[in-house]
Amino acid sequence: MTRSSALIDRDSWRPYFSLVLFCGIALVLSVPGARVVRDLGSAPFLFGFPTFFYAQALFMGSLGLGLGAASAERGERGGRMVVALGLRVLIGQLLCLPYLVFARSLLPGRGGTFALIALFTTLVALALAMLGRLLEQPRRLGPSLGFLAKYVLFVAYYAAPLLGFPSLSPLGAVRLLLEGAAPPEALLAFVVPVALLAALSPFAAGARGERRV
Amino acid sequence: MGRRGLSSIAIFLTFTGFVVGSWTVFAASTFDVTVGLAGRVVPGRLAPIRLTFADLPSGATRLCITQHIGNAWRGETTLSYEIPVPDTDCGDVEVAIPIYDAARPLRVLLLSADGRRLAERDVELRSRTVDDAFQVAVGAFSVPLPGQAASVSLADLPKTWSAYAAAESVWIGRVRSGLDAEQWDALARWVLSGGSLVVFAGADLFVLDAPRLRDLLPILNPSLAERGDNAPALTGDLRSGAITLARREGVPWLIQRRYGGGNVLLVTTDALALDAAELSEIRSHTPSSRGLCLVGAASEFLDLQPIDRPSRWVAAVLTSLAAVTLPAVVGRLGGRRWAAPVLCAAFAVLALFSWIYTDSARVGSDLYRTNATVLIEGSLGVSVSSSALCSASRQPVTAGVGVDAVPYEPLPPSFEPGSRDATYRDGAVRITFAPGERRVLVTQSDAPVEFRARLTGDEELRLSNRGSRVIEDALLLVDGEVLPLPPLEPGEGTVYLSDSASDTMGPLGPEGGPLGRLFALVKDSLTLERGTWLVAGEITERMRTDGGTSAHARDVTLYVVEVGRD
Repeated sequence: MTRSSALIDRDSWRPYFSLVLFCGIALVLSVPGARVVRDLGSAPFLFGFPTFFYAQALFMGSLGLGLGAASAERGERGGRMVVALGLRVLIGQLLCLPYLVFARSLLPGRGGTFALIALFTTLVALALAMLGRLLEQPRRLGPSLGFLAKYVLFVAYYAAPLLGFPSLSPLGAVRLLLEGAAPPEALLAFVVPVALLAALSPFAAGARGERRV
Repeated sequence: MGRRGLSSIAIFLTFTGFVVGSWTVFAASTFDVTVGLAGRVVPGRLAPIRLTFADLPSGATRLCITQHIGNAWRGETTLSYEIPVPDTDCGDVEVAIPIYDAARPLRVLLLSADGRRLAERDVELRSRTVDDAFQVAVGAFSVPLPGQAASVSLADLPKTWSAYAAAESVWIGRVRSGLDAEQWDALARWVLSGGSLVVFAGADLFVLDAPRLRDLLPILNPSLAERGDNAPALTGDLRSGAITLARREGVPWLIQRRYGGGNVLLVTTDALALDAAELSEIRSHTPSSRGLCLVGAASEFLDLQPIDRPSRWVAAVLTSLAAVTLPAVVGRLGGRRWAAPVLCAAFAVLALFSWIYTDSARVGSDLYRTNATVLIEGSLGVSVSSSALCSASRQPVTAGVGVDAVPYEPLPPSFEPGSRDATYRDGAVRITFAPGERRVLVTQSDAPVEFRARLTGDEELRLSNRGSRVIEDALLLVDGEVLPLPPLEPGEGTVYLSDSASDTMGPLGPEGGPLGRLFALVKDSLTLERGTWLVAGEITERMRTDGGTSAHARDVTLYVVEVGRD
């Protein structure tokens, strides 16, 4: 038997597992293969490429969608749902903490940037959790269409801005933060997830779910 | 007159006052600039710049010498060197800076503390340019020197040894007064680094005489004697290693001696007592100066400098542990209230493991730097150094690279406009590195004498290490034969050479290592096969963070010390 009050259960751990596994693989790929300075010239594009942070931005968003869908399935509503989703997203961040600590040795002197990226990915995950919660609520779109709409919007949010306004995409925003963007630019990166969160939260909190028995 | 009219007059008077004031400052401050050794410069080599001041404005704090290099095809870049001006309002400043390009004039600005221009001069270089090193003559000679010799007055003789970089050899003839101690020291250091000095010192020795000249001369206890043809000639006891190249009337006439990496030739008659044939003969015996070039060595050592980074295997183990821990915890505790706290605690332990593992030695650096430095020591010391740098960052990195003198940077045949801009100030060069970019800086400077060594008899070597560190790798080179030495401890010590092992071990440090390769290079360049030398080396590592840019520097240092003999 599972209890809806639990933050993590046997049915909802898979999005976390994707996050842990793929962020870990990205971390391994982020470690430069170069052993000596001469090797830097032979693989200039791979050296120091912060794959881990892009993977974190991607899979935290995916985690958010998964958590939203699970929340709809549980029939969670109101402020309690928002708090529970927030805590679950934070658990996701905590699962990435060993990697984040490891990654500080790859990009030294960027403690502030790491904190900003962690905050940013938390907001993105929470915003997408709200989106997932809304789209997966019963009788709104139907299971197949809801699933499809969820991932179409996810891909659109991550990929479409890269064509014109990269900083509006989480991937572009992470790049902006890693490159040490000026405060106004960094603020711009946070506008989209904060706006999404502010716009979707009231609807998601009020939406009816399907209580699991 | 209305209010508007009064305002206009006030603005006009203010403006006029400003213009007149500025003009007064510019007019009052005078400074003369002389560039080049004997007025000549060789592109790609250091040249002396002397600035003579009179009535400096009170706010003048520094001089900025700017060179615009290149053209639209090759690429253009700007190099500037800032030098503090003396506290007094009159005086000289001499500095040796590299001359890259003679196409455009050199601009010298006198600046205030806040960067305001107080005066400026443009110095034309085109007419001063020569293609290669040249012979430098100081004082008078009986006939013009053979070849394309350039004469320099005693007053203009540089006091910085690196300023002689364009000299093939320096000939000191008859002078009205002797050189000052700084000029002798500069010449001695230049010879130590590979320069070639010819001193004409028959009866003139007593005009030239100075402690440093005595140190340079190939003879001890000089005295004036008469040759068979009644000409005065300088005689004395030959120093160890000195060679008589030519004799006149049975008296040594031309004597040569190694001094560090260079040579000193003594002509035992006056400069005014020689004919053209004799001067040509001396020239044929005079070796050209040889500068030690460590650019290739520094680049090679940088290639082999290890990258600071954590292990991929550890990252993989961390990932595996995380991927196993998550389903294990959820599988056993999933759905229970304390599943989340247990999961968080497990991952906190993994985070702690990451923290402990990724210590400072595994934190990547933005910049890698290898300094190949050779310190040549006799009674004075010089340092010749090349720093190879490489940016390991994916973003442009601006760093202050500490150097011990104004550096020279070999420029590629073509480059992006502005990409080679650099500013030297307060012992550091400010450079912006593009991602993955490599640069090399070359410096030549004075160095303190850290080692003294004296061979007493055949078996005993007395050593003095004034440094504070133990130098692990050392050897003695006696006429090309290698005798390994024990580590050189700080302080005084004696080594009995009979106790030294035979030279079955590598020449210096591990075989094929940077010290051994640097030693091989220096041995060839400075021709250490002759004479007795103490050679010691060390490799040290430094980590430094400057304004958010972390740099890992490796210093490969070789000490080449001339060993005295009792």
